[in-house]
Amino acid sequence: MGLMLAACGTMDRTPYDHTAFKQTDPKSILVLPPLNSSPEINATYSALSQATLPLAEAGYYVLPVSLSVELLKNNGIYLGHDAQNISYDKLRKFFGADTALYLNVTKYGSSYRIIDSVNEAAVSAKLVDLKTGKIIWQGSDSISQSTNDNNNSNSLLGTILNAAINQAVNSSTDQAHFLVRDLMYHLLSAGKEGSNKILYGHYAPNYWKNVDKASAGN
Amino acid sequence: MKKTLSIFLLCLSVCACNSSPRQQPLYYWGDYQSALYAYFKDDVPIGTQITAVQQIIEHAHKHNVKVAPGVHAHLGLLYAKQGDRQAMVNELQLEQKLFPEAKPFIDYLLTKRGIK
Repeated sequence: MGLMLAACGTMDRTPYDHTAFKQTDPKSILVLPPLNSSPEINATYSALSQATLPLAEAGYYVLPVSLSVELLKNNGIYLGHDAQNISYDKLRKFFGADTALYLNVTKYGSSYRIIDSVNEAAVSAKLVDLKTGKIIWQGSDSISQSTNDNNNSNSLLGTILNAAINQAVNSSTDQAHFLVRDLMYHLLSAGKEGSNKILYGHYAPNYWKNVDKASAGN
Repeated sequence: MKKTLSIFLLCLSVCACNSSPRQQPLYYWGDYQSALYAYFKDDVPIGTQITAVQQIIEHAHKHNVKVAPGVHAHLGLLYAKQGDRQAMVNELQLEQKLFPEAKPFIDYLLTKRGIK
């Protein structure tokens, strides 16, 4: 099938020090419009629309992304770069969130590699305490998917033609969007202490305080 | 789609070692994230978007699963885009009722008319 299973391997596995995270103990997260270094305009929409689920399932209230964007637009802020330059004080004042998530989409789209068309996405994220301006968590992840099906062609010319066709199909059907869904889930879902993930929040049965209390009681 | 699914499933199995025991989903999501993507790309009529989100909420209620953060609020925004301010207010109030953390933001939207 020619799949490149790079997804899990490329997230830095170094355990994250959750001291600052526990000190902040956030209840809510504001997801800001992402920075985008890819050539695709859909990249920002794709990341923005698929960040809510993993964070909410981790046990946090995630401010409605469409309304956040609308509020920013009504105040003349259209680009991720401008949104991410707003002071923490102002963000806290207008959105009332404990933390803000700063996303940067560094790769999004289908890349033509002569004998292959590769769908890829890469996103980095940092979570900032809006009271202190301190980064309480950061991480990044990338994912790529080869669509070269070697079994379909005996000749180099055939392989090249298939790659060109796949590239056209992959681009026009926005395959990177589906990769971003998996990437965001992997990047932003919760884990326990000693992992490189965010901790579970107060809506989750696995909320880190519940877990700490339980182990203290034993 | 199939290839994506297999990557996703493989990730779940490989990455399980780093996460706590998997909990039941907290919310019903349906096609919500697709609905958001469609909204941002602005390639689906508002009426169709409204129906889709309403169905997500109905499904959640029917199956006694909590509506996810932002869903009611997003529906409110769609109603506002159609000119129905009262329906927007209702949805924002529902959002706030479900999630008290939304209060500062929703108060700001409703009193300062942050939404045009």
